[in-house]
Amino acid sequence: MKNEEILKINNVSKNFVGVQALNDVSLTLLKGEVHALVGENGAGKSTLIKIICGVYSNDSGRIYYKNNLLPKGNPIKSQELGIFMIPQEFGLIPRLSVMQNIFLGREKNKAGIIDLKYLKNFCKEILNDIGIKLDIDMPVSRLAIDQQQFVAIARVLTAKAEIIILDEPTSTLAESEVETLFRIIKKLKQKGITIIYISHRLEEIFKISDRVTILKDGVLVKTCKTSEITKEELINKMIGRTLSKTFPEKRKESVKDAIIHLENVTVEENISNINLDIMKGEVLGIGGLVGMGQTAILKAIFGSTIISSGYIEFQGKRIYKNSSSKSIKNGINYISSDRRGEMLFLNRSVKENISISALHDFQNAGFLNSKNENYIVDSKINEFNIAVLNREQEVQFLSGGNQQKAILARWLIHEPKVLLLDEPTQGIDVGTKEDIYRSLRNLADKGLSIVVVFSDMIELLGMCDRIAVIYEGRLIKIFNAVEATEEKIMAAAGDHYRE
Amino acid sequence: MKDAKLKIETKKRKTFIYVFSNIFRKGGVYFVFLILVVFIGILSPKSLGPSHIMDMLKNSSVLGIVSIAQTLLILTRGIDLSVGANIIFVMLLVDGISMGNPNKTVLVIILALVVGILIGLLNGILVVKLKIEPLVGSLGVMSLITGISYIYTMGFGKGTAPPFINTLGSGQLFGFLPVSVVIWAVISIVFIIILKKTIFGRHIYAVGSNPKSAAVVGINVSRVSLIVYVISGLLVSLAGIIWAGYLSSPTFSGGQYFPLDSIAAVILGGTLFAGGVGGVGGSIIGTLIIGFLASLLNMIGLSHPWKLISSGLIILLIVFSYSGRSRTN
Repeated sequence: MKNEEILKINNVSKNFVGVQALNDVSLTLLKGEVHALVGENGAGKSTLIKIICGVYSNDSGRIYYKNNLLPKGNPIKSQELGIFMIPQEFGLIPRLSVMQNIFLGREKNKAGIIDLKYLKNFCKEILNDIGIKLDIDMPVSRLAIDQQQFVAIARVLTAKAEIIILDEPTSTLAESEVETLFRIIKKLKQKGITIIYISHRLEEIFKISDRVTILKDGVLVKTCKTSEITKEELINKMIGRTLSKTFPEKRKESVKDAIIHLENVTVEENISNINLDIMKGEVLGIGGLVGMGQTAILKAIFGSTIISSGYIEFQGKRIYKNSSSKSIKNGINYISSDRRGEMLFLNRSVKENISISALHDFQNAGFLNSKNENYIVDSKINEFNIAVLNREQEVQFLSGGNQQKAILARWLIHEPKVLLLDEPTQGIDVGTKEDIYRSLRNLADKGLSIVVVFSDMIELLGMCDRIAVIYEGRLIKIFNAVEATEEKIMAAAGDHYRE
Repeated sequence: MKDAKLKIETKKRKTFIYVFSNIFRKGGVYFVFLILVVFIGILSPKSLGPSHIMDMLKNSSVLGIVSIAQTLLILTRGIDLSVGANIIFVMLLVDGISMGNPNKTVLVIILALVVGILIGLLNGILVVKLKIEPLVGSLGVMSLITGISYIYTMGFGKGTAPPFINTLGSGQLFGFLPVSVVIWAVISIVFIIILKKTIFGRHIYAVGSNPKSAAVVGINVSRVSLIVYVISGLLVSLAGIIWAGYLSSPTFSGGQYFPLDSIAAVILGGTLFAGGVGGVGGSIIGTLIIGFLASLLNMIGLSHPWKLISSGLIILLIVFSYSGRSRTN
């Protein structure tokens, strides 16, 4: 019983338009084990579980469930076989009762009439089984978050779950509630149910899991018994990069001239009283927990959001009525983290996407000179090493990394003075990330000022000359590259991630 | 066993529509047009003679000009359902004010164009400034203009177009070339050049492709949309002037087909309803398909209701194959 294999993943790979989300992953799950899945954001955890659940279909490789081939990309079949995922938001219907939610879509009935008595008994039995007391007629909306989670678990149990995937199950729970959850997980284990446990909280993983699998950049780094690995080793394997290697060398001497100065800048409901100098030729990183107002700072500088008080100076002169078109004229350019939604013209060509900001360069009495335009566009495609069939290819068919390079190329036809970037490497494969780091550093060395938001600590430390840490819209501290460490930034950001 | 069954399940079913859209994707709308011409040739070889062709072109020219306006609008994520009402209104004004008097030709032309600009501006302000959905906004304008038309004429169109305008609508150059076709061709060339070769054209595509991105690169999105509405109002009023010259006396009927026919022509021509992709060239072919299809159905001798049903079905089929194309992409 103990070492019976239930799920065998053999050489599974998955590619999303140019990004290798999973690369040749092989893994075996045992019956009745708690198997933790760890890795940074974008390591491939969610891709892997979505393939197991049938939401995505893998490009290559096979998955065997109880020695039978699991159909690819068939979520209904996966559920019929007993593979369930409990998402972070549970997927319950608030207005229905506990029991209605538990049996939703699978009500036992006689000629269309629901057999209430049977369902009630079955429901109580299941809840008793995992040691939970709940009023089964209570609407789910009136339950606490942890109780809702129990309902979600009971729901998959009545559907004869054999593998349950828990995605960040403790992210919304208080500590005492976590204990109850762990008790339930242990009961499920005894019943022979396999749990895939995804969490950023490493302490929990050491508490609850039997084995752990570490993913990094789509590759399975290691699978081992949790008792055979230390926390430090685990973190090392998850991050697995040495800083000096992937990032270009930083500026040696610090710069003194400010190009932009923010004086007590406040944007309602986003940032308050930000005082900040942006120096010529520096890479200034903005860090902190996700969604603490980093983007609002960039947008305030760019002029695409309204500043409610305070002001911004550009080259020593105060800017009145800041607007994005004025910023572009001043050579201040912005690259949003929402590449597809706010930066690209997806169904237009690479050429048009690049030249759109500099059309006046190619005009003669209002008419475009396509020879000039093509020449400039081609030279930019070469300079940034953008992988395209030709300049007329629609930009939506490029990989994320090449799309990002095209956006960089767009802004660098004219030499800008300031570049504002929001998560410029999000969703980009590692190789292209390095290209982008190098491009940014080269530009900074030529005197361009770069303000960049990174949520990834490694990037923040590896790329930036100075790091401004934001918490709830306020500037907590600015670190110089030399003094900055992960611990100091974490402390300033008020984070509890990785303790 | 399970493996094999799975393969059959996942294998793409090659339905008729799938095959059709496949052929269509490669040959495009030109292929459909060719089929139409071949059918017409088989049914009545005479109708492919120069004079018949010119006639068919002439009958399509007003729709052709309206379709160019509609193309610009749809490219920038707009649409105008009031084009039919506006054409009728302009025609009623031209006929009613000039009463066929040649001395008032310049006056009514200027008046008609100003009215067109104002209606375009109205549609544009509703959409761009007041943020009303273009479909709903232009529907309101359509009702508004139709009501004004009835009040102005008290229900009966009066007067007739002056001789020069008659020439625009039904005259010929060199004894064979319809003037309205020449106007259509010139406008087409002008807007093909504007879209392909000017900064404004690029801005039109950018705004239609992604207004948010357009704003980030410093394009004044509202201004581009508003200008497009004004231009299309101007084009529609020009179509109205030609319509006045094409008909011998003013009538309310006939206008109701322009909104849907012009939208159909644009979509048939490959312009994306979502904006940002397409152009005038496709819309010309789209217009010709609609015009030639009407001639073909006439030749077959279908009654009016059946003509409407068949042309509706054929247009739906073609447009459906486009949606198949975007799915397979």
